[in-house]
Amino acid sequence: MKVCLISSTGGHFDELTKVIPAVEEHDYFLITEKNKSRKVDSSQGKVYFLMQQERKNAMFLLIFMANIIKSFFLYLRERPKVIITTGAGATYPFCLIGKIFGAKLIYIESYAKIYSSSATGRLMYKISDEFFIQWETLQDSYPNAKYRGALF
Amino acid sequence: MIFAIVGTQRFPFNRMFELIDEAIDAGIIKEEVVAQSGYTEYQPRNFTAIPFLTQEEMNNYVERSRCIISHAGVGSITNCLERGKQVIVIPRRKEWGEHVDDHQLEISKVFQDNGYVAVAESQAELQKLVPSIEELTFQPYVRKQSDLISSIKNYVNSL
Repeated sequence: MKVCLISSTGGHFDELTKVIPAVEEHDYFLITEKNKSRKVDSSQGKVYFLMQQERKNAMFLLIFMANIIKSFFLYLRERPKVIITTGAGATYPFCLIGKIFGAKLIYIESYAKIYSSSATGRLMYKISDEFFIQWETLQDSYPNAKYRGALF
Repeated sequence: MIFAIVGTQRFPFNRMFELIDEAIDAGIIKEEVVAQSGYTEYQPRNFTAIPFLTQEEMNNYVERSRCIISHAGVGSITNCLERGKQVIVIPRRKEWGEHVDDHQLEISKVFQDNGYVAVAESQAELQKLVPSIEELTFQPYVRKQSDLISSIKNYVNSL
């Protein structure tokens, strides 16, 4: 089964790499943001890159549009049956495209969010097939989320 | 040696480097400081800042350091704790344009309450912590039992 693991850079990617053992028996690949201060180790598998986007950046809209187009072509090229993401925003277009084409979505809310939901989490809560939180304190924000422990 | 980590967010974290520079000026930090600077543009007066480091290079600096000063990124902190290092955390703040929200404050508090790290939010706190860090007792960082990976695995295999 083809599985896509997708996240932005930094802590989100640290969390994503911790999910690899759950899918390593499948045909998986990674998508993350290109970041010049963070080199990705290709021994972790096949890796594709999106542009790094942050919603408080002046170029945000342009980069976001470019990432939507790139996500669309990446999706058509790989057509994963399952998409697993640890956020953040840059991963949302790929997940939404996957959802439209019938892929199953698994979202893991960031370990860094303890008391309040994230913007990406609120969007993904509506479209995910499985939604995990890493702190029980988030159950009020996401009543249907599953708490099964943390990645760290 | 002290290794300083600001992570790879696009937001600069000049304040952390200013605090370290001031602590060196004041003679509180006397040893060599090396920093991973990422997108932080502040040019330190008293220490070396390296923008781009691989995970392996990061790990080498962590191993060689007596103490780490880090932003409150979970990956950065846990990587240092798993190597048995003493970590002083300075959380990035939304109000100063250092991150999109204040989740680093929450993370700092939880890690501090668990006895894993010390938190410095001001020059006074940093200057108090750096010389006395060896005298503080920290809890060993142990990853808690978790069924998250097996839950994901079971779900994927059920499809």
